[in-house]
Amino acid sequence: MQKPRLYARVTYRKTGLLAFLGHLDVARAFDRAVRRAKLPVAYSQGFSPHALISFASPLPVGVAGEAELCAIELASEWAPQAVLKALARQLPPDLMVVAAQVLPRGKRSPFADLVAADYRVRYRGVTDADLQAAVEGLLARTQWPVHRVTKSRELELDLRPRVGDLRVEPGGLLRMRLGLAEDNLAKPEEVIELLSAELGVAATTQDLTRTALWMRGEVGRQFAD
Amino acid sequence: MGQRTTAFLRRVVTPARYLGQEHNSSRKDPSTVRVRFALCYPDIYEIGMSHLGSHILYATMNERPDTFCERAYHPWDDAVALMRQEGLPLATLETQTPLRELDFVGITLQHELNYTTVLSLLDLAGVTLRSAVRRPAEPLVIGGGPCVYNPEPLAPFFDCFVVGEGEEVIHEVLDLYVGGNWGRTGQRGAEQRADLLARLAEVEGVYVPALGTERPVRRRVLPSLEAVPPPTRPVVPYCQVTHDRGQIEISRGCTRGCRFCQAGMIYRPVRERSVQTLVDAAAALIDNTGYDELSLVSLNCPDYSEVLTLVDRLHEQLAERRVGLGLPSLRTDTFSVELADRIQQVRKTGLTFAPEAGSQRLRDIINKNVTEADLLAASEAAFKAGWHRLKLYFMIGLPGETDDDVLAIGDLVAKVLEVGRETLGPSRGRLALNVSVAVFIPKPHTPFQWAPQLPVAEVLQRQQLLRERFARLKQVRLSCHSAEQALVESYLARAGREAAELTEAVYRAGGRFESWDDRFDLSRWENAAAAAGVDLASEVNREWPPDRPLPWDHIHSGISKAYLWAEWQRALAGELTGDCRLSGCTDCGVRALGAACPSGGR
Ligand code: SF4
Repeated sequence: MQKPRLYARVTYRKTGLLAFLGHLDVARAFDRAVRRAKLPVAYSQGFSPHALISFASPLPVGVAGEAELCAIELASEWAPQAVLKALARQLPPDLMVVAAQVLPRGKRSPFADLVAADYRVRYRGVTDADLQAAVEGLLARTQWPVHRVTKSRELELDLRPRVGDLRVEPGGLLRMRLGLAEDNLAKPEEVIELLSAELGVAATTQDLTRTALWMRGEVGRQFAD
Repeated sequence: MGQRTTAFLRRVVTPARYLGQEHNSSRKDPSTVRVRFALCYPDIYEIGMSHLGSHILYATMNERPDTFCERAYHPWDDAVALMRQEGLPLATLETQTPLRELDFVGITLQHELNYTTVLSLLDLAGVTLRSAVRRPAEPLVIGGGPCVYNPEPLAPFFDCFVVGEGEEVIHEVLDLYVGGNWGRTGQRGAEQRADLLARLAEVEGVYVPALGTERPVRRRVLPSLEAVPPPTRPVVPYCQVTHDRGQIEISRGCTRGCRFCQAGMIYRPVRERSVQTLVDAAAALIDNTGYDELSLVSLNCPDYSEVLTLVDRLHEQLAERRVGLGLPSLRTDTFSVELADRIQQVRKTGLTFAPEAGSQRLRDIINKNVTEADLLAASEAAFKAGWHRLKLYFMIGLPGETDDDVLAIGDLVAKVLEVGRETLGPSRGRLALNVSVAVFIPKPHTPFQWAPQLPVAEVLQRQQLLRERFARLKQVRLSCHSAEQALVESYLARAGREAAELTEAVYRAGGRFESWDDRFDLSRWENAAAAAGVDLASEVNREWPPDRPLPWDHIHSGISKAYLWAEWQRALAGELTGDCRLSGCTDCGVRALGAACPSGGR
C-alpha cells in the first residue's frame, strides 16, 4: 500500500532563451532551486537519495512554455504562498514560478488528470487570410491521417478527434488545443504538417509555445475521458 | 549581433551551453565599470565550467566594483561553423559582447593539448593571433595556469602571462590598468600599449614575452589561504558539466615530493584553510548553489592535518541538506578505516587510489612512499565501508621502468581484486575495478624534467602487456591513455618558442580540441614538424644533460634547479626523500620566494 503523499503543484514558465533548456536541465535547475529555497521536500530512499520533484509532459528543447507544471513532494505542510515566494527568489525571470497550490494528501499522481494542452505558433511567409483559409480547409475534412513513429513502433492514426480548437489570430498566429493523455495525444508538429499541405506555399513557423496545460474538468467534454 | 539568437540556438546540438543567465552569474552594467575582462577556457562549456580556478578568479574580479569579469568558452564544432558562416565573433556569455571589445582576454592554460584550441579561440574572437602584430587598440591577451611554468610555446600569442597564484596579482594588474592613462580597448595608441606592457612587466609574477627572457619572473605565492576565502557563490550551470558539484579547496601545495608531479612542486609550500573557515564556506556554498554534492579539493585530502575533524564537522552541515561528500584522488597510505566510514555516511561518491607504479622498486624511483600493504589495507577499508567499485590510477613509461614493473601493475591489481572478493563476500558480484593507465610525461620544474619520454612504440607494447594481463579478469576495466597524444604533450611541455610555429601550423591544419582523444591526429603534428625540420621524438625521447639550457630557465617556480637535479640523481639511485612536513626541510628552495614555509623547517 502506498501512503498518501503531499504535493505542491507549481506553475512555471520556460520562456525566452531558456526555452532552449532541455527537460533534464529544467529538472536540475528546480532541484537546485528547491534546495536553495530550503523547502521541506521529501527525498527518495536508498543509496543516493534525491529530492522528489516531478514534471508534467516534458517540453522539447526550443519549445517554450508559459504555464508548465512541476510537482514537489513535501515532507511537511507548507502554505502555497510560502512555496511560491521561496522558489521565486531562486529562479531567473525566464524560468519563473507563477502560481502554486498544495494538493490534498492523496495517492494519485499529481498529473493524473492532465488531458489537454494549448499551443501557439507564429507563421511567416503567409497572409492571415491564406492561413485562415487553410485552417478552414483542414477543419472541413473529416479525417486527419497522421503517420507517427515512436521509439517502439510506427502507427497510422486519425488526429481529428484529438484536436479541440484551431484558430488564427492577427499577425500569423495559430492557436490550437490538443489532447495530451497517452491515448489521445496530438503533437503540434503534426497539426503544422497537416496544415502545410492545405497551405500549398512554403511557410515557416517559429516560436512554438505551449500556453496552457489543462486538467480533466477544466476543458470541454472532448478531453473528459 | 551575438550568438544568442533563436535562429542560432535552433541550429546547434546543445544550446544550453550558450545561454548564460545561470544562477550566480554576474549581471553588472558594463557602463559602470572601468575594466572589462573576458575569462576564457579553451575547451567547451562543460569542461571549462568544471574548473575551480576559473570560478575563483571570476569571483575575485567581480568583487571589484570597477571590474566586470565575463566568461567565454570555445564553442563546439556546429556553433563554430555557424559563426564562421554568419561572421559572428566569439562573445561573452554574460552580455554577448564580442571578446575583442573587452579590455582583457584572459585564457587559462591547464593542458598542453589545449594549445591549438587556444589559438582557435583567439581567432574566433577576431583577436590578432601574434602579439607582435596585434593592433594597439586590441585587448590584452593574458594567460595563467600550470602551463605558464613553460610559457614559451605560446609566448608569441600572448601579451603577458601571470605565473603563480592569481588571487593577489590579478588585483595588482587591474589596479595598474585603471590607475594609468593607457586608453581602453578601441582607443589605445601604440605608445600607450607599449607603456602599459612595460609597466605590467614590473609587477612581480608577470611575464611579458615581447620584452625578452633575461629578466627572471618569480612565481606569485600567497603566504596564507586564510586571506582569500573560498568562493561560495560560483555560477551554477544549467546543463550537466563534467564536475557538476560544489568544490572547496581545503589546502594548496603538497610536500610528498613525488618526482614526476608538477603540482607537487609548483604549489609549495603547503597551506591549509582552517576547519571553521571550511565548514562555514561549505554551508554557504550549498545554500547559494543548491548542489547535492560537495567535493573537497586538494592534492591529497587525507594529508589535511585535521581531516577527520573536518569530515565530521562537514557531515553535520551536509547531512541535513542531503548533500554527498567527495574526496578526489587519495594516496593509499593515508586512507584509513575511520575516513572510509565517515565519507560513506551521507552518500557514496567515487573513490580513486593512485599507487602510480606497480613495483616497489619503481615507486621508490618516483618517490611515491607507499607500499603494497598500504594499498591493500586502503582497499580493504573501502570495501568494508561498502564500496564495490574503485578506481586505480597508474603510470607507465617512468624512468627506469622495465616490462617486469609493468607486469607488477597486473599483480597488484589482482591482489586488490582478491581482497575485494574476500571482504565483500556475498556481494562480490558487484566488485569492479577501473584501472586507468596514463603515460608518464616529463614536466618542467620537476626532478624528472631531464628524463626521457618513452618512445611511442614501446608505450604501445607495454600497454599491450597490460591488456593481455587483464583480458581474463572480468571485474577489471582497463583504460590506457593515448601514446601519440603523450608524445605531443611531452613535446609541448618542454619545448621552446620554436614550438609556436608548429602549434599555429597544426591549428591552421584543423587541430582543435586535441585533448579529446577522438579529435587528436598525430599526422597533423608530424606534417608540421617535418615542414619545420623538427623531429618530435628525438627531442623528447632522450635524456637531457644537466648543462642543457631549459626553455623555462627564466621562470622561477621557487623550487631550485639544484634541488631538482639532486632529486633526479637520487631517483636514478633509487633513494627516497622524505616528506618535509614529517622529516624536516629538504631545502627545495621555496623559501627564497619569501614564502613563509609552515611545512617544516625543523
Ligand atoms: S622549503 Fe623545506 S619545508 Fe618548505 S616546502 Fe621546501 S622542503 Fe618543505
